[in-house]
Amino acid sequence: MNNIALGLVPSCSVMRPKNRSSLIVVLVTRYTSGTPMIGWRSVQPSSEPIPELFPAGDRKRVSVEMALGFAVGVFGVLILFHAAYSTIQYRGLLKIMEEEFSGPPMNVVAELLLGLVLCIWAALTVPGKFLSIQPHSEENRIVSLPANSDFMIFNHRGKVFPLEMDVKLKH
Amino acid sequence: MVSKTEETQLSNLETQVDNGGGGAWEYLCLVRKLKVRRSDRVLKHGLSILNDLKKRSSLGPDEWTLYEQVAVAAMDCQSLEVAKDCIKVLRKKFPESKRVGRLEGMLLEAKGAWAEAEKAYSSLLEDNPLDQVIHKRRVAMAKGQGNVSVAIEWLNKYLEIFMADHDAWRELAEIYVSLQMYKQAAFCYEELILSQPMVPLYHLAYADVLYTLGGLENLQNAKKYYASTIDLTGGKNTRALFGVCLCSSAIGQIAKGRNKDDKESPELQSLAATALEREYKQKASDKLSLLTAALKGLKVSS
Repeated sequence: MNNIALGLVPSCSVMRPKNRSSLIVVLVTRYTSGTPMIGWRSVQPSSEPIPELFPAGDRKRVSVEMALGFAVGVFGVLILFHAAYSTIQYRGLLKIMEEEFSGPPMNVVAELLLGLVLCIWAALTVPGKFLSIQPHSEENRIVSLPANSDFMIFNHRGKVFPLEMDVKLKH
Repeated sequence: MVSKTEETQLSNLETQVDNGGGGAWEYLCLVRKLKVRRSDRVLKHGLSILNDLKKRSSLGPDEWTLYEQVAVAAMDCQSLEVAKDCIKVLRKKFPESKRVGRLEGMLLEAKGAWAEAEKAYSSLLEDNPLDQVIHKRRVAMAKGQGNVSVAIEWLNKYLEIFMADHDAWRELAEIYVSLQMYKQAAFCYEELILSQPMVPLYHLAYADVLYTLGGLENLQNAKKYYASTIDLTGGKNTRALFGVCLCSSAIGQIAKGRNKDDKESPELQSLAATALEREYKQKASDKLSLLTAALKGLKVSS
């Protein structure tokens, strides 16, 4: 039982959110005696050179949102499994009662719809925040071109007013 | 390309670093990523990291990138001693590197030893004749010496081989604009718009060039490109808004004597004028009267 469950669900998965925050959330899913246990651990990488797009409070909120989304997703999948199980049971019941199968019972349909909604919601929250595709949004609107540093010349007016630096490179 | 969010992030980080709030390495990384020219700050904060043994060793292999960045910044600030020391350290670490050879050439340039720099670059080009950066350095060297026509010649030769290099196209366009050769500059900006159609600043620069050229057809095209800039920036580019107003006023003056059948709808300019007035009211309400007077002079405000 344990092995099958482990085969189905990866015991440990590392997710990287699309937004450029330097947080890596490690999800540890362990199966002990059939009941799923979800352990949470957030790991801060040692010295990420990527500058942070979100301040610390924002990152915390994002990780909490992701945790919630993941839990909801697991719940949604469980509901879907339960719907499948109920359908099988219902067909078994029909066979015993020797009736024709006309359609799934109401509670299965309701479960399916609920599971669908929950899974969609989880799939939209867990991978991270969406980035804007509009050209005039704040992230995409280009306000200045980069300095053309390949064509940088040093023979400019700064030469007349050299920077007063008394610091030297020490070794 | 520097987007609005990145610009705010950079300026926040800049004030933080300048006031001693830490984050110097993040700032240097951002400067490198956005390719902005902040040589004085890079020199100051880069040196403070490089002189701190603990901080420097915690960078790992990025240390050498920092040495290169500081060396270029030092040359830009004419702190040639620092640049020389940085290059010496890099040369010791990478004895055979072409990249360090390029830095040495740039140091010669900064010293003003043009002939020696030229010699260094040509020996580097012999090893690898398709080194783009060295070709560009030669163009920059000609420009630094004041031989703009030579720079144009080199740049044209370079663009015949590397046609997709939009930085070079931009440089050529800017050189042409500085020489008031607007037709040639317009061609370069057309190339740039073709290669990167989503950058509003190229549309804006092209429209500026067309407006400067004058003539009815050019003015109409300029107005279209100002309008596309407004479209791409969501109306947040003040220069484009002003451009639309100026173009419509100039078109109106030219078309006054001619037939009035193809008179354009006045909606665009009155919308632009309204947007300008709103923006001024929000950000600089004391200058609103100046703006309304100017717009009245252009006869575009409704």
